[in-house]
Amino acid sequence: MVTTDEKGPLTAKKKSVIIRSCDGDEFLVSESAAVLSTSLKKILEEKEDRLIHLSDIDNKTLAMVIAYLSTHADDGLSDDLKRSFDQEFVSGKEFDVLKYLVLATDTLQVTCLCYTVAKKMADIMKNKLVEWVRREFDIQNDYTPEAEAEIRRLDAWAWDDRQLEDD
Amino acid sequence: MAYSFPEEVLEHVFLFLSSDKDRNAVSLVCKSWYEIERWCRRRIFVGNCYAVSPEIMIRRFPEVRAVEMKGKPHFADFNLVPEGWGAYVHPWIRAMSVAYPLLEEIKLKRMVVTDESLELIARSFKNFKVLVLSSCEGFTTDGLASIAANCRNLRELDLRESEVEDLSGHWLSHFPDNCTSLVSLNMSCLGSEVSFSALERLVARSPNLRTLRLNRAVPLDKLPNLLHRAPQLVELGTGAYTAEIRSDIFSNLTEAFSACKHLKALSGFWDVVPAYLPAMYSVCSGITSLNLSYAAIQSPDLVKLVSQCRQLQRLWVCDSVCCLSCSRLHRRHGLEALAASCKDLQELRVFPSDPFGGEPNVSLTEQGSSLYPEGCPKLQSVLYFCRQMSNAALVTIAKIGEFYPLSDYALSSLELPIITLEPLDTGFEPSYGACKLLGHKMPRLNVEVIDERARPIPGESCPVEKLYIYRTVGGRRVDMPGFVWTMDESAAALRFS
Repeated sequence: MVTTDEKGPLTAKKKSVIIRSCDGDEFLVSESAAVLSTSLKKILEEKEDRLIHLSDIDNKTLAMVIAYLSTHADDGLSDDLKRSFDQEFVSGKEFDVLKYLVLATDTLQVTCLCYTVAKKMADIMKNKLVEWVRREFDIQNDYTPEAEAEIRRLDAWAWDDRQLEDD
Repeated sequence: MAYSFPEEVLEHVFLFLSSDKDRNAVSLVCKSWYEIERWCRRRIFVGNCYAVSPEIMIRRFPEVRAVEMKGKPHFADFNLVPEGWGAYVHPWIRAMSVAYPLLEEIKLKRMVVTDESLELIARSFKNFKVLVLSSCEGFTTDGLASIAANCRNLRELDLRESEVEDLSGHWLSHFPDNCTSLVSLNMSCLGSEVSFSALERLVARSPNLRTLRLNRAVPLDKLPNLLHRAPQLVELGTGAYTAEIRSDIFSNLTEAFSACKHLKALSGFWDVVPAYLPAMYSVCSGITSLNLSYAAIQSPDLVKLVSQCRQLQRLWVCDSVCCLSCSRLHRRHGLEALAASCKDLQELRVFPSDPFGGEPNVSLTEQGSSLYPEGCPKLQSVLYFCRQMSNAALVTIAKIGEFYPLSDYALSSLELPIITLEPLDTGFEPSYGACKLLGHKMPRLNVEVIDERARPIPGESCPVEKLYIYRTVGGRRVDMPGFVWTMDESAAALRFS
């Protein structure tokens, strides 16, 4: 991964780190991009080693996060350009991809990206049935049929803004 | 399972799910999601305050910031719910004042709100921001004064259609001098004069004010002063739009309006003097919403006004637009002009000028046939408040439906306020006995008979006067007045024995 040249006098040699995904791929990342992740920043502060192994992030997901970090570390880009990059970044991505991405942002503590991905996931979840949500998140329903029916009734009767909008 | 979602990640996702429907779906996924969801639900909508209890709400959702709630049934708008029926908000406020110290918003509709409740709100919620009391009653300007004095971060105070007892016009002067947070102030329902200098100062120190709806007591010649102080307004409700015809008033008004470049919605116009309408023509091109339901404006004046509003999406008028003094030609002319000028019109409401009077000004048949389908292709909703539902009117509705065969037109709401009052031709005449049976068979339904007639208690075959049925998880309510009979077994046994 190539970083842009700094303008002005070079006070220190541009530092890079290598990040390895759980499936063994290695990524060369500028330190200025890496430290946008609070977790990576902490690791780099604590040890001299320039190789960081992430045992629970796969190469595809890691590549996406690094693309995000590098863009946001680029001082040559305006905030507007970064914002439109963020929108582009999540648009069209499959729900499954977003799930891994949001988990990676949580592990790496990249708060802004976490919100962007969470919002995109919520947008996709809108108007979906419970059954869809369970399937996509691979969750077993642990309610008894009676308990589920009771919650459905309560929810529909007590707090539901659908029917009474202009009434 | 390949992955498990940490709680905080799910919380982020849930926070972006804003509708109750989606939140409800999430809480049904599994028990742990139910737990996570209930702790991060910030907004609650309760469609009927008797369908659930404050205790149930607080137990389920401990961290709520905004509550919206409705009280009396819709037919209360047509004076069909006797005074004292219920929908008291105080038990809710009392419970919330203990459970939700971080509450920021309360929006109520058709509820009884006392000054005591308003004082409790003002005292209890340190970061309170939004109070909307829509068609509420039971409070005075003293209660409003305590809100003004204590809610330092108040953004919105909206009293639309509420009945407020006016004790003092000085409540506005209770807003402290450092209160600059107001975004919306709607006091159009107040009857008496407000302290104009306090209002002027408040408007001047509210740089974020977007909505200002005045009451009838604010005279037209004061309006320019206010507009000069708030050129950023997006929504304006004028006071009385009347004054003796004077060129200086007219030019002041014209100048003040022309400085307001962001206005999108206009309302008010009480006692309108049409000669002053051209003073606001400069803002008309940007107007998307025009509420003339308080203005007894005649058809030719309406045509002139509306033809300036090319971007109009919502129009509320009063049926005197097509009043008896106009010829049938004029009546058609009003709606034709609308169709010709306002291609973006989406919503039209026609209110009765005298809702409880005798003869209607115009019948639905004539109105309906004037709605030309080719005129407003985006029209989605026509709300027509009619007093008589004749066969002819039904035929008209059917015809309107035929005009728009591709279903891009929907007669989405048609109000039939009186149909519950007199069971004359409907063939439906529920008796006390039938209601008792219903209440007994459906324990989750609250079946209420509202009957103000003289005692003794009517017999089982006696037809009921008014009936209100709703479903509830909160159980029987305990605050009914004597003229309400709940039709469950125990109450029936008590009352009918």
